Amino acid sequence: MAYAKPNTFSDGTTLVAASVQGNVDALRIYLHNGIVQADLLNSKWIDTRHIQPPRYDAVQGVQHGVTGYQGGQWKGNLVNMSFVTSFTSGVGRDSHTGDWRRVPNTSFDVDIRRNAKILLHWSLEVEGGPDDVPAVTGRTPAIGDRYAYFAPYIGTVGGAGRSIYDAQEVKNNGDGFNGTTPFGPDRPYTTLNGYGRRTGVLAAERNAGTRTTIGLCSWSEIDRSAVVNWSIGLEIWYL
Amino acid sequence: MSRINRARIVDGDQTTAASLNDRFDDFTQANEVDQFNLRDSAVDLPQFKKSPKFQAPFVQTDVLGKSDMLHAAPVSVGATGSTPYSSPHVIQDGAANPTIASYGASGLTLSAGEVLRIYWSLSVRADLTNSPWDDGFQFNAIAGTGGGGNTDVSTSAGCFVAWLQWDVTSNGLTNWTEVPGQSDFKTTLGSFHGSSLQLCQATTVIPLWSYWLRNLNNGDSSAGTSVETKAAGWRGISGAWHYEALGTPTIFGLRVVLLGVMHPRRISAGAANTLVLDVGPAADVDLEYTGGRLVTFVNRMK
Repeated sequence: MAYAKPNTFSDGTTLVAASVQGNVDALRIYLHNGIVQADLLNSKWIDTRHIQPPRYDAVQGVQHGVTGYQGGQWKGNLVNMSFVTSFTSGVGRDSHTGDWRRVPNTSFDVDIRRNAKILLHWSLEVEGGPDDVPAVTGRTPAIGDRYAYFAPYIGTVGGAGRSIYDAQEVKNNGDGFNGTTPFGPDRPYTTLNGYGRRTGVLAAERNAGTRTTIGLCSWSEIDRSAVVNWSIGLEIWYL
Repeated sequence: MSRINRARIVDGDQTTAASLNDRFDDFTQANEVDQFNLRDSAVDLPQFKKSPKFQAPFVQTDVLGKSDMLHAAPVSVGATGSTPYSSPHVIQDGAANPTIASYGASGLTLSAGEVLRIYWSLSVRADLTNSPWDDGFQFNAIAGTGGGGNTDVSTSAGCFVAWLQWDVTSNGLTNWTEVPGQSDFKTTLGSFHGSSLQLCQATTVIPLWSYWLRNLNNGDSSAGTSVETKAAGWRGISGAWHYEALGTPTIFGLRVVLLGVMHPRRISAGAANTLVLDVGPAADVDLEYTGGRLVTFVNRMK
C-alpha cells in the first residue's frame, strides 16, 4: 500500500498541529511496515550497511547503530576465572550498604547518543569457598551462613546505581576440606546451593550525551569465591 | 525515476496549504522509495520522535518481596497440604502487602506488533524439617544387588513452582488469571492435580534439596551406606516470559505466585509429562524468600 496522507490541507482553513502530526505519524507507520513491492525501485539499491551503519566495538562486544546498542560478552572456564573476596567487602560487617566491588571484566562503558531505555541481561556461575575458617569477633557470620552476593549496577556501585533487590546469593561451601585423599571439598557442592546459574535483568533509562558504566558488582562474606563464568548482554534502545 | 529534492523551509517562507500537501504527496508515487529518498537520507524510526516512544514504548521496574538481603527475617511460605489447593501464595513484603507490578488506572495496552517482555528474580531458600525426601512420592525404591536389600532413594526432584498471573480486567486488581501458556496447576491428572509441562511456559522451578548416598557399592548398601542430604540454601532464582499480543489487551497488573511441593510425574492416561502437587511432605517443607525484582518491558517488533 503506497503512502496516502490522511489529512489534506486547504487554503483558508486553520492549520492545526494535529493534522500535520497525523500525516507524520502515518508516514512513520508507512516507512516502518507499509512499504510494498510496487513502491520500490525494481533493482537493488540498498544494502545492510545503508540500513544501519554499523560500528562494532570488538573490545566491548557491542554494535552501535542508529537504533542503539546491542551485543554482549561472556567469559569463563576453570582456568580463566574471576574472583571476589570478603577481604575487600563483607568481612565482619553487618551492613551491606557499602563496600561493593566490581566483578572484574564485567563492565561496559557506553556512550549514550540519544535518550534511551536500557536492559542489561546478566548471568554467572560461582564457586563460593570452601571457607571453613571459624567465625571470630570481627569475622562473622558463621561458616554456614556466608554468602557472596552479586548485583547489576549502572553508573556507580553505590546505592544510587545498585539495589539490593537485584542482589542474588551464592552460598559458601561450608563443609570445609576433606582431610584425606582425595583432598578437596569434603561434601558435594551442589547445583542447588552453589553452582548453578544466577540470572537477572536490570532496566534503566539514560539521557542523551552521557557516558555510562554498567556491569556487575559483588559483596561477599566468603573469603574467596571464583566466578567460573559470566555473561552480560546489553540492549540500548534509542527513543 | 523521481527524486524527492524539495528545499527546506527557511525563515521567511510562507507556508501554504499547497506546500504542505506537496511535502506529503512526495511519498505517494510508485518507485519513489529508493536510494535517494530513503537510503541516503538515512530514514530511521528514531527520526520520528514521539511520545509514547516507538521502539521501546514502555519500561517499568518493580520490587518483589522484602528488603532483607542478609536474611534477618525472611518471608516464609508453607507447603500446601491439600489438593487441589485453594490459592497460591502471592509474593509479598513480609507485612502481608503483595508486591506486584501495577500499571495504573488506564493499564498497559499492547498494540499489534508489540511484544511484552517480563523478567523477574527472587532470593529463596528451602526451610526443611525431618525428612521430606521420604514423604509422599518423593522417592523411588532401588533394588539392591547385595545383602542390603532395597533402598528408598529420593529423586531430589521435589520443588516449588513460581509462575506469573496478570489482571486484564480492571485496575481493581481482583481478577487475577494465569498468563497465556500457563496453567494454574489445578488440572486433574490421574489421581493428582497439576499441569502438563506444555502449560508451564511462565513457570520457574525451585528445587528444594539434594540427596546422595555414601559407600554404596555397586548397588550393595550393606557396607555402611549412609544417606546424606542438604537443603537448598539461599540463592537467586529468576524467570522470563515473552508475549506477542494477538489483539490489543490492556494489562492492569502482573504478579508472581508460589506453590509447592511439586514433583514430576508421567501421567499415562494423558501420556503427558507433568508437574503435580505432592501433599506428603507438606508438614516438613517451607520456602523462604527475601527480595527480588520484576521488570516489564515492551518492544515494538514490526
